[in-house]
Amino acid sequence: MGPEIIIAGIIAVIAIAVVLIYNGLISLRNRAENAWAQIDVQLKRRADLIPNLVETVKGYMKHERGTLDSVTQARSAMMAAQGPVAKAKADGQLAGALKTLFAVAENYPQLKANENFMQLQEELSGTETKIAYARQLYNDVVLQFNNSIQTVPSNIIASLFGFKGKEYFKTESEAERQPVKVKF
Amino acid sequence: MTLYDEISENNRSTILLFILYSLFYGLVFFLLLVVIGISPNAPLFLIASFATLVFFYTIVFPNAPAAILSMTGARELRKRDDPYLFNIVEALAIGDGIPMPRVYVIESDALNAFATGPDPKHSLVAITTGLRSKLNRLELEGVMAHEISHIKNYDIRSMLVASMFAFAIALIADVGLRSMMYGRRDRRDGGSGILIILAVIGLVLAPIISALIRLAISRNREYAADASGAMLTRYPEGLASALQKIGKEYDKGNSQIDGVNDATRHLFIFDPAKKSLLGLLSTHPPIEDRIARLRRM
Repeated sequence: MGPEIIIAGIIAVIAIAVVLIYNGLISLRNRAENAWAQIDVQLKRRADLIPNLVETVKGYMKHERGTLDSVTQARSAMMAAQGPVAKAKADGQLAGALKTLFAVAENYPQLKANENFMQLQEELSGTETKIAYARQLYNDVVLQFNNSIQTVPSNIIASLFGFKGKEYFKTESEAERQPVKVKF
Repeated sequence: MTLYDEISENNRSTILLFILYSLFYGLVFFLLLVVIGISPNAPLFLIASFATLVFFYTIVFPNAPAAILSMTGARELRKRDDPYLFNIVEALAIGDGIPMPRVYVIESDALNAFATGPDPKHSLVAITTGLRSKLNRLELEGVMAHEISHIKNYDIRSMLVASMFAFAIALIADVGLRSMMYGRRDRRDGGSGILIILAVIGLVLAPIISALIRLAISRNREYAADASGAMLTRYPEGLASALQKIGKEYDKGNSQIDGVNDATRHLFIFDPAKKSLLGLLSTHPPIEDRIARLRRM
Protein backbone atom coordinates (compact mmCIF):
# COMPACT_ATOMS: atom_id res chain seq x y z
CA MET A 1 0.00 0.00 0.00
CA GLY A 2 2.04 2.89 -1.26
CA PRO A 3 1.25 6.52 -0.41
CA GLU A 4 -0.07 7.07 -3.96
CA ILE A 5 -2.92 4.63 -3.37
CA ILE A 6 -3.86 6.30 -0.09
CA ILE A 7 -3.90 9.73 -1.71
CA ALA A 8 -5.95 8.39 -4.62
CA GLY A 9 -8.37 6.89 -2.09
CA ILE A 10 -8.75 10.18 -0.24
CA ILE A 11 -9.36 12.07 -3.48
CA ALA A 12 -11.96 9.50 -4.51
CA VAL A 13 -13.79 9.86 -1.20
CA ILE A 14 -13.74 13.65 -1.44
CA ALA A 15 -14.98 13.51 -5.03
CA ILE A 16 -17.86 11.27 -4.08
CA ALA A 17 -18.74 13.54 -1.15
CA VAL A 18 -18.74 16.58 -3.43
CA VAL A 19 -21.02 14.85 -5.91
CA LEU A 20 -23.45 13.76 -3.19
CA ILE A 21 -23.56 17.20 -1.59
CA TYR A 22 -23.95 18.94 -4.95
CA ASN A 23 -26.81 16.63 -5.95
CA GLY A 24 -28.43 17.19 -2.60
CA LEU A 25 -28.29 20.96 -3.09
CA ILE A 26 -29.76 20.69 -6.58
CA SER A 27 -32.53 18.50 -5.22
CA LEU A 28 -33.39 20.96 -2.45
CA ARG A 29 -33.29 23.94 -4.78
CA ASN A 30 -35.64 22.18 -7.20
CA ARG A 31 -38.00 21.33 -4.38
CA ALA A 32 -38.02 24.99 -3.35
CA GLU A 33 -38.75 26.12 -6.90
CA ASN A 34 -41.48 23.53 -7.22
CA ALA A 35 -43.01 24.65 -3.92
CA TRP A 36 -42.91 28.25 -5.16
CA ALA A 37 -44.67 27.25 -8.37
CA GLN A 38 -47.38 25.64 -6.23
CA ILE A 39 -48.00 28.96 -4.46
CA ASP A 40 -48.26 30.65 -7.83
CA VAL A 41 -50.85 28.11 -8.99
CA GLN A 42 -53.06 28.86 -6.00
CA LEU A 43 -52.56 32.63 -6.22
CA LYS A 44 -53.64 32.51 -9.85
CA ARG A 45 -56.66 30.42 -8.91
CA ARG A 46 -57.73 33.03 -6.39
CA ALA A 47 -57.15 35.82 -8.88
CA ASP A 48 -59.32 33.99 -11.42
CA LEU A 49 -62.21 33.66 -8.96
CA ILE A 50 -62.34 37.36 -8.17
CA PRO A 51 -63.95 38.84 -11.32
CA ASN A 52 -66.84 36.38 -10.90
CA LEU A 53 -67.13 37.37 -7.24
CA VAL A 54 -67.20 41.09 -8.02
CA GLU A 55 -69.89 40.54 -10.68
CA THR A 56 -72.07 38.50 -8.30
CA VAL A 57 -71.73 41.02 -5.51
CA LYS A 58 -72.12 44.21 -7.54
CA GLY A 59 -75.88 43.89 -7.94
CA TYR A 60 -76.48 43.47 -4.22
CA MET A 61 -73.91 45.81 -2.73
CA LYS A 62 -74.68 48.89 -4.81
CA HIS A 63 -73.38 51.35 -2.23
CA GLU A 64 -70.17 49.57 -1.42
CA ARG A 65 -68.18 50.82 -4.39
CA GLY A 66 -65.12 51.47 -2.27
CA THR A 67 -64.90 47.91 -0.97
CA LEU A 68 -65.30 46.42 -4.46
CA ASP A 69 -62.72 48.78 -5.91
CA SER A 70 -60.08 47.89 -3.32
CA VAL A 71 -60.57 44.22 -4.15
CA THR A 72 -60.17 44.86 -7.87
CA GLN A 73 -57.14 47.08 -7.32
CA ALA A 74 -55.52 44.58 -4.94
CA ARG A 75 -56.04 41.88 -7.56
CA SER A 76 -54.25 43.92 -10.22
CA ALA A 77 -51.40 44.62 -7.82
CA MET A 78 -51.17 40.88 -7.10
CA MET A 79 -50.92 40.01 -10.79
CA ALA A 80 -48.21 42.59 -11.36
CA ALA A 81 -46.03 41.61 -8.40
CA GLN A 82 -42.74 39.78 -8.95
CA GLY A 83 -40.69 37.74 -6.51
CA PRO A 84 -41.48 36.42 -3.03
CA VAL A 85 -41.30 39.72 -1.16
CA ALA A 86 -43.51 41.70 -3.53
CA LYS A 87 -45.94 38.82 -3.91
CA ALA A 88 -46.21 38.36 -0.17
CA LYS A 89 -47.05 42.05 0.22
CA ALA A 90 -49.64 41.98 -2.57
CA ASP A 91 -51.07 38.73 -1.19
CA GLY A 92 -51.55 40.36 2.19
CA GLN A 93 -53.26 43.35 0.60
CA LEU A 94 -55.63 41.18 -1.43
CA ALA A 95 -56.44 38.89 1.48
CA GLY A 96 -57.28 41.95 3.58
CA ALA A 97 -59.51 43.43 0.86
CA LEU A 98 -61.38 40.13 0.51
CA LYS A 99 -61.79 39.85 4.26
CA THR A 100 -63.40 43.30 4.30
CA LEU A 101 -65.67 42.41 1.40
CA PHE A 102 -66.96 39.27 3.12
CA ALA A 103 -67.42 41.14 6.38
CA VAL A 104 -69.50 43.77 4.59
CA ALA A 105 -71.47 41.03 2.84
CA GLU A 106 -72.74 39.96 6.25
CA ASN A 107 -75.11 42.94 6.11
CA TYR A 108 -76.77 41.69 2.93
CA PRO A 109 -78.80 38.56 3.76
CA GLN A 110 -80.07 38.20 0.19
CA LEU A 111 -76.52 38.15 -1.11
CA LYS A 112 -75.52 35.62 1.51
CA ALA A 113 -78.31 33.30 0.38
CA ASN A 114 -77.27 33.52 -3.28
CA GLU A 115 -76.11 30.08 -4.53
CA ASN A 116 -73.34 31.47 -6.65
CA PHE A 117 -72.07 33.63 -3.83
CA MET A 118 -72.01 30.71 -1.42
CA GLN A 119 -70.06 28.55 -3.89
CA LEU A 120 -67.60 31.35 -4.55
CA GLN A 121 -67.20 31.90 -0.82
CA GLU A 122 -66.32 28.23 -0.27
CA GLU A 123 -63.99 28.21 -3.28
CA LEU A 124 -62.19 31.35 -2.15
CA SER A 125 -61.97 30.06 1.40
CA GLY A 126 -60.59 26.75 0.11
CA THR A 127 -58.09 28.58 -2.06
CA GLU A 128 -56.95 30.74 0.88
CA THR A 129 -56.29 27.54 2.83
CA LYS A 130 -54.33 26.11 -0.07
CA ILE A 131 -52.29 29.29 -0.38
CA ALA A 132 -51.52 29.04 3.32
CA TYR A 133 -50.37 25.43 3.02
CA ALA A 134 -48.40 26.11 -0.15
CA ARG A 135 -46.62 28.95 1.66
CA GLN A 136 -45.96 26.69 4.62
CA LEU A 137 -44.43 24.01 2.41
CA TYR A 138 -42.37 26.62 0.56
CA ASN A 139 -41.04 28.03 3.82
CA ASP A 140 -40.29 24.54 5.18
CA VAL A 141 -38.37 23.64 2.04
CA VAL A 142 -36.54 26.99 1.97
CA LEU A 143 -35.50 26.35 5.58
CA GLN A 144 -33.96 23.03 4.54
CA PHE A 145 -32.25 24.61 1.53
CA ASN A 146 -30.90 27.59 3.47
CA ASN A 147 -29.64 25.26 6.21
CA SER A 148 -27.71 23.27 3.62
CA ILE A 149 -26.26 26.42 2.10
CA GLN A 150 -25.08 27.69 5.44
CA THR A 151 -23.88 24.65 7.34
CA VAL A 152 -20.48 23.03 7.00
CA PRO A 153 -19.48 21.23 4.79
CA SER A 154 -22.23 21.85 2.23
CA ASN A 155 -21.69 25.62 2.44
CA ILE A 156 -18.31 25.14 0.76
CA ILE A 157 -19.85 23.34 -2.20
CA ALA A 158 -22.70 25.84 -2.26
CA SER A 159 -20.44 28.88 -2.65
CA LEU A 160 -18.21 27.01 -5.11
CA PHE A 161 -21.13 26.39 -7.43
CA GLY A 162 -22.98 29.61 -6.79
CA PHE A 163 -26.03 28.40 -4.86
CA LYS A 164 -27.87 31.36 -3.33
CA GLY A 165 -30.15 31.24 -0.33
CA LYS A 166 -33.84 31.90 -0.85
CA GLU A 167 -36.21 34.34 0.83
CA TYR A 168 -39.10 33.22 2.96
CA PHE A 169 -42.67 34.08 2.01
CA LYS A 170 -43.41 36.36 4.95
CA THR A 171 -46.66 37.95 6.01
CA GLU A 172 -46.47 41.69 5.54
CA SER A 173 -49.91 43.17 6.07
CA GLU A 174 -51.26 44.10 9.46
CA ALA A 175 -54.68 42.76 8.57
CA GLU A 176 -53.23 39.30 8.10
CA ARG A 177 -51.51 39.38 11.46
CA GLN A 178 -54.74 39.87 13.35
CA PRO A 179 -55.72 36.72 15.24
CA VAL A 180 -58.45 34.71 13.57
CA LYS A 181 -61.52 34.23 15.68
CA VAL A 182 -62.60 30.61 15.58
CA LYS A 183 -66.19 29.66 16.32
CA PHE A 184 -67.18 26.02 16.70
CA MET B 1 -40.85 17.29 23.70
CA THR B 2 -40.96 19.27 20.49
CA LEU B 3 -42.65 17.98 17.36
CA TYR B 4 -39.31 17.49 15.62
CA ASP B 5 -38.00 15.32 18.48
CA GLU B 6 -41.23 13.38 18.59
CA ILE B 7 -40.98 12.58 14.89
CA SER B 8 -37.31 11.52 15.06
CA GLU B 9 -37.98 9.28 18.03
CA ASN B 10 -40.87 7.59 16.28
CA ASN B 11 -38.75 6.87 13.22
CA ARG B 12 -35.95 5.48 15.37
CA SER B 13 -38.40 3.17 17.14
CA THR B 14 -39.71 1.91 13.82
CA ILE B 15 -36.21 1.06 12.60
CA LEU B 16 -35.42 -0.73 15.86
CA LEU B 17 -38.63 -2.73 15.69
CA PHE B 18 -37.89 -3.81 12.12
CA ILE B 19 -34.37 -4.85 13.08
CA LEU B 20 -35.88 -6.85 15.93
CA TYR B 21 -38.34 -8.41 13.51
CA SER B 22 -35.57 -9.40 11.07
CA LEU B 23 -33.55 -10.99 13.86
CA PHE B 24 -36.65 -12.83 15.03
CA TYR B 25 -37.21 -14.06 11.47
CA GLY B 26 -33.67 -15.43 11.46
CA LEU B 27 -34.21 -17.03 14.86
CA VAL B 28 -37.36 -18.78 13.75
CA PHE B 29 -35.60 -20.11 10.67
CA PHE B 30 -32.84 -21.40 12.95
CA LEU B 31 -35.44 -23.17 15.09
CA LEU B 32 -36.78 -24.78 11.95
CA LEU B 33 -33.35 -26.15 11.15
CA VAL B 34 -33.03 -27.49 14.70
CA VAL B 35 -36.29 -29.33 14.28
CA ILE B 36 -35.97 -30.70 10.78
CA GLY B 37 -32.21 -30.98 10.69
CA ILE B 38 -29.88 -29.46 8.14
CA SER B 39 -31.75 -31.06 5.32
CA PRO B 40 -31.09 -30.15 1.70
CA ASN B 41 -34.62 -28.77 1.66
CA ALA B 42 -33.79 -25.96 4.10
CA PRO B 43 -32.70 -23.37 1.52
CA LEU B 44 -35.82 -24.31 -0.42
CA PHE B 45 -38.01 -23.22 2.48
CA LEU B 46 -36.21 -19.92 2.70
CA ILE B 47 -36.67 -19.34 -1.03
CA ALA B 48 -40.31 -20.38 -0.86
CA SER B 49 -41.00 -17.96 1.97
CA PHE B 50 -39.26 -15.15 0.07
CA ALA B 51 -41.25 -16.03 -3.03
CA THR B 52 -44.50 -15.52 -1.17
CA LEU B 53 -43.19 -12.15 0.05
CA VAL B 54 -42.43 -11.09 -3.52
CA PHE B 55 -45.88 -12.25 -4.60
CA PHE B 56 -47.50 -10.16 -1.88
CA TYR B 57 -45.45 -7.10 -2.65
CA THR B 58 -45.87 -7.05 -6.40
CA ILE B 59 -49.35 -8.48 -6.92
CA VAL B 60 -51.46 -8.29 -3.79
CA PHE B 61 -50.22 -4.93 -2.55
CA PRO B 62 -51.11 -2.72 -5.53
CA ASN B 63 -54.60 -4.22 -5.66
CA ALA B 64 -55.26 -3.97 -1.95
CA PRO B 65 -56.97 -0.55 -2.13
CA ALA B 66 -59.55 -1.86 -4.59
CA ALA B 67 -60.23 -4.81 -2.31
CA ILE B 68 -60.74 -2.78 0.83
CA LEU B 69 -62.94 -0.28 -1.01
CA SER B 70 -65.33 -2.98 -2.17
CA MET B 71 -65.29 -4.61 1.26
CA THR B 72 -66.37 -1.43 2.99
CA GLY B 73 -68.68 -0.24 0.23
CA ALA B 74 -66.89 3.06 -0.18
CA ARG B 75 -67.77 5.36 -3.08
CA GLU B 76 -65.53 7.94 -4.65
CA LEU B 77 -66.20 11.61 -3.99
CA ARG B 78 -66.16 14.18 -6.78
CA LYS B 79 -65.27 17.72 -5.93
CA ARG B 80 -68.85 18.90 -6.48
CA ASP B 81 -70.18 16.27 -4.04
CA ASP B 82 -68.37 17.85 -1.13
CA PRO B 83 -66.14 20.79 -2.07
CA TYR B 84 -65.50 21.57 1.59
CA LEU B 85 -63.89 18.18 2.32
CA PHE B 86 -62.26 18.03 -1.09
CA ASN B 87 -60.59 21.40 -0.55
CA ILE B 88 -59.31 20.32 2.86
CA VAL B 89 -57.68 17.16 1.46
CA GLU B 90 -56.23 19.09 -1.48
CA ALA B 91 -54.79 21.77 0.81
CA LEU B 92 -53.14 19.21 3.09
CA ALA B 93 -51.63 17.34 0.14
CA ILE B 94 -50.18 20.65 -1.05
CA GLY B 95 -48.77 21.21 2.43
CA ASP B 96 -47.02 17.84 2.40
CA GLY B 97 -45.86 18.16 -1.19
CA ILE B 98 -47.56 14.98 -2.39
CA PRO B 99 -50.13 14.46 -5.17
CA MET B 100 -53.69 14.72 -3.92
CA PRO B 101 -55.09 11.31 -2.92
CA ARG B 102 -58.52 10.22 -4.18
CA VAL B 103 -61.27 10.80 -1.65
CA TYR B 104 -63.85 8.16 -0.70
CA VAL B 105 -66.88 8.12 1.54
CA ILE B 106 -68.25 5.18 3.57
CA GLU B 107 -71.91 5.20 4.52
CA SER B 108 -71.75 4.50 8.22
CA ASP B 109 -72.61 6.04 11.56
CA ALA B 110 -69.30 4.84 12.93
CA LEU B 111 -66.70 7.57 13.36
CA ASN B 112 -63.65 6.49 11.41
CA ALA B 113 -61.33 7.20 8.50
CA PHE B 114 -58.48 5.45 6.73
CA ALA B 115 -55.82 5.85 4.09
CA THR B 116 -54.35 3.23 1.81
CA GLY B 117 -52.26 2.83 -1.32
CA PRO B 118 -48.80 1.55 -2.27
CA ASP B 119 -47.30 5.03 -2.68
CA PRO B 120 -48.32 8.70 -2.69
CA LYS B 121 -49.11 8.67 -6.40
CA HIS B 122 -51.63 5.85 -6.06
CA SER B 123 -53.30 6.45 -2.75
CA LEU B 124 -56.67 7.33 -1.32
CA VAL B 125 -58.30 8.53 1.86
CA ALA B 126 -61.72 7.49 3.07
CA ILE B 127 -64.02 8.84 5.77
CA THR B 128 -67.33 7.65 7.17
CA THR B 129 -70.39 9.84 6.75
CA GLY B 130 -70.73 9.69 10.52
CA LEU B 131 -67.32 11.24 11.14
CA ARG B 132 -67.73 13.76 8.33
CA SER B 133 -70.87 15.16 9.92
CA LYS B 134 -69.62 15.26 13.50
CA LEU B 135 -66.34 17.15 13.05
CA ASN B 136 -65.72 20.85 12.56
CA ARG B 137 -63.14 22.24 10.14
CA LEU B 138 -60.14 22.09 12.46
CA GLU B 139 -60.94 18.56 13.58
CA LEU B 140 -61.48 17.39 9.98
CA GLU B 141 -58.14 18.92 9.04
CA GLY B 142 -56.52 17.11 11.96
CA VAL B 143 -57.95 13.73 10.97
CA MET B 144 -57.15 14.15 7.29
CA ALA B 145 -53.64 15.38 8.12
CA HIS B 146 -53.11 12.17 10.10
CA GLU B 147 -54.24 10.08 7.15
CA ILE B 148 -52.17 12.03 4.66
CA SER B 149 -49.16 11.60 6.92
CA HIS B 150 -49.62 7.83 6.69
CA ILE B 151 -49.41 8.18 2.92
CA LYS B 152 -46.43 10.52 2.97
CA ASN B 153 -44.54 8.33 5.46
CA TYR B 154 -45.15 5.22 3.34
CA ASP B 155 -46.71 3.61 6.43
CA ILE B 156 -48.96 1.40 4.35
CA ARG B 157 -45.89 -0.07 2.71
CA SER B 158 -44.13 -0.50 6.08
CA MET B 159 -47.11 -2.34 7.49
CA LEU B 160 -47.22 -4.55 4.41
CA VAL B 161 -43.57 -5.47 4.90
CA ALA B 162 -44.38 -6.25 8.54
CA SER B 163 -47.31 -8.42 7.43
CA MET B 164 -45.05 -10.21 4.99
CA PHE B 165 -42.62 -10.97 7.81
CA ALA B 166 -45.52 -12.26 9.88
CA PHE B 167 -46.72 -14.45 7.05
CA ALA B 168 -43.27 -15.87 6.34
CA ILE B 169 -42.68 -16.57 10.03
CA ALA B 170 -46.04 -18.30 10.32
CA LEU B 171 -45.21 -20.36 7.24
CA ILE B 172 -41.85 -21.46 8.58
CA ALA B 173 -43.28 -22.28 11.99
CA ASP B 174 -46.01 -24.30 10.32
CA VAL B 175 -43.55 -26.27 8.22
CA GLY B 176 -41.44 -27.00 11.27
CA LEU B 177 -44.35 -28.19 13.36
CA ARG B 178 -45.81 -30.32 10.58
CA SER B 179 -42.54 -32.10 9.96
CA MET B 180 -42.41 -32.81 13.71
CA MET B 181 -45.81 -34.43 13.44
CA TYR B 182 -44.97 -36.53 10.40
CA GLY B 183 -41.48 -37.37 11.65
CA ARG B 184 -39.60 -36.35 8.52
CA ARG B 185 -36.43 -35.48 10.24
CA ASP B 186 -32.92 -36.48 9.53
CA ARG B 187 -31.99 -37.60 13.01
CA ARG B 188 -28.32 -37.42 12.35
CA ASP B 189 -28.20 -33.71 11.56
CA GLY B 190 -30.91 -32.39 13.83
CA GLY B 191 -30.54 -31.17 17.37
CA SER B 192 -30.65 -33.36 20.48
CA GLY B 193 -33.89 -34.19 22.30
CA ILE B 194 -34.07 -31.21 24.69
CA LEU B 195 -33.10 -28.79 21.96
CA ILE B 196 -35.83 -30.09 19.73
CA ILE B 197 -38.46 -29.70 22.44
CA LEU B 198 -37.36 -26.12 23.05
CA ALA B 199 -37.36 -25.45 19.32
CA VAL B 200 -40.87 -26.80 18.99
CA ILE B 201 -42.06 -24.59 21.84
CA GLY B 202 -40.35 -21.71 20.06
CA LEU B 203 -42.13 -22.50 16.80
CA VAL B 204 -45.48 -22.69 18.54
CA LEU B 205 -44.91 -19.32 20.16
CA ALA B 206 -43.42 -17.79 17.02
CA PRO B 207 -46.66 -16.59 15.40
CA ILE B 208 -47.79 -15.06 18.68
CA ILE B 209 -44.55 -13.18 19.26
CA SER B 210 -44.55 -12.18 15.61
CA ALA B 211 -48.04 -10.73 15.97
CA LEU B 212 -46.95 -8.76 19.03
CA ILE B 213 -44.01 -7.25 17.15
CA ARG B 214 -46.21 -6.40 14.19
CA LEU B 215 -48.78 -4.71 16.42
CA ALA B 216 -46.03 -2.77 18.18
CA ILE B 217 -44.88 -1.46 14.79
CA SER B 218 -48.47 -0.53 13.94
CA ARG B 219 -48.90 1.44 17.18
CA ASN B 220 -45.59 3.15 16.62
CA ARG B 221 -46.61 4.30 13.15
CA GLU B 222 -49.87 5.62 14.57
CA TYR B 223 -48.00 7.86 17.00
CA ALA B 224 -45.80 8.93 14.08
CA ALA B 225 -48.81 9.83 11.94
CA ASP B 226 -50.28 11.82 14.84
CA ALA B 227 -47.04 13.79 15.16
CA SER B 228 -46.57 14.29 11.40
CA GLY B 229 -50.18 15.38 11.04
CA ALA B 230 -49.81 17.86 13.88
CA MET B 231 -46.66 19.19 12.22
CA LEU B 232 -48.53 19.63 8.95
CA THR B 233 -51.46 21.55 10.40
CA ARG B 234 -49.30 23.25 13.07
CA TYR B 235 -52.35 22.67 15.27
CA PRO B 236 -52.25 19.44 17.32
CA GLU B 237 -55.48 20.35 19.13
CA GLY B 238 -57.48 19.71 15.94
CA LEU B 239 -56.71 16.01 15.92
CA ALA B 240 -56.82 15.82 19.74
CA SER B 241 -60.33 17.22 19.73
CA ALA B 242 -61.41 14.84 16.96
CA LEU B 243 -59.98 11.83 18.80
CA GLN B 244 -61.85 12.90 21.89
CA LYS B 245 -65.12 12.91 19.99
CA ILE B 246 -64.32 9.52 18.42
CA GLY B 247 -63.42 8.04 21.80
CA LYS B 248 -66.64 9.25 23.38
CA GLU B 249 -68.73 7.69 20.62
CA TYR B 250 -66.78 4.45 20.82
CA ASP B 251 -67.55 4.12 24.51
CA LYS B 252 -71.20 4.24 23.54
CA GLY B 253 -70.53 1.30 21.22
CA ASN B 254 -70.83 3.12 17.92
CA SER B 255 -67.71 2.17 16.07
CA GLN B 256 -68.36 -1.03 14.17
CA ILE B 257 -67.86 -0.85 10.44
CA ASP B 258 -68.73 -3.59 7.99
CA GLY B 259 -65.98 -5.18 5.99
CA VAL B 260 -63.25 -4.72 8.56
CA ASN B 261 -61.04 -7.67 9.39
CA ASP B 262 -57.61 -8.27 10.84
CA ALA B 263 -55.90 -7.40 7.61
CA THR B 264 -57.42 -3.95 7.41
CA ARG B 265 -57.82 -2.88 11.05
CA HIS B 266 -54.55 -1.06 11.20
CA LEU B 267 -55.43 1.27 8.35
CA PHE B 268 -58.12 3.12 10.29
CA ILE B 269 -57.56 6.12 12.51
CA PHE B 270 -59.14 4.30 15.42
CA ASP B 271 -59.07 0.53 15.94
CA PRO B 272 -62.50 -0.51 14.65
CA ALA B 273 -62.34 -3.99 16.16
CA LYS B 274 -64.08 -4.79 19.40
CA LYS B 275 -62.13 -3.74 22.46
CA SER B 276 -59.48 -6.34 23.19
CA LEU B 277 -58.50 -7.37 26.69
CA LEU B 278 -54.84 -6.45 26.44
CA GLY B 279 -53.49 -3.24 25.00
CA LEU B 280 -50.88 -5.40 23.27
CA LEU B 281 -53.43 -6.76 20.83
CA SER B 282 -54.49 -3.36 19.60
CA THR B 283 -53.27 -1.92 16.31
CA HIS B 284 -53.59 1.58 17.75
CA PRO B 285 -52.31 3.15 20.94
CA PRO B 286 -54.91 4.00 23.58
CA ILE B 287 -56.87 7.11 22.66
CA GLU B 288 -56.23 8.90 25.96
CA ASP B 289 -52.52 8.45 25.40
CA ARG B 290 -52.68 9.87 21.87
CA ILE B 291 -54.69 12.87 23.03
CA ALA B 292 -52.25 13.51 25.89
CA ARG B 293 -49.25 13.39 23.55
CA LEU B 294 -50.90 15.78 21.11
CA ARG B 295 -51.79 18.24 23.85
CA ARG B 296 -48.21 18.19 25.11
CA MET B 297 -46.80 19.25 21.73
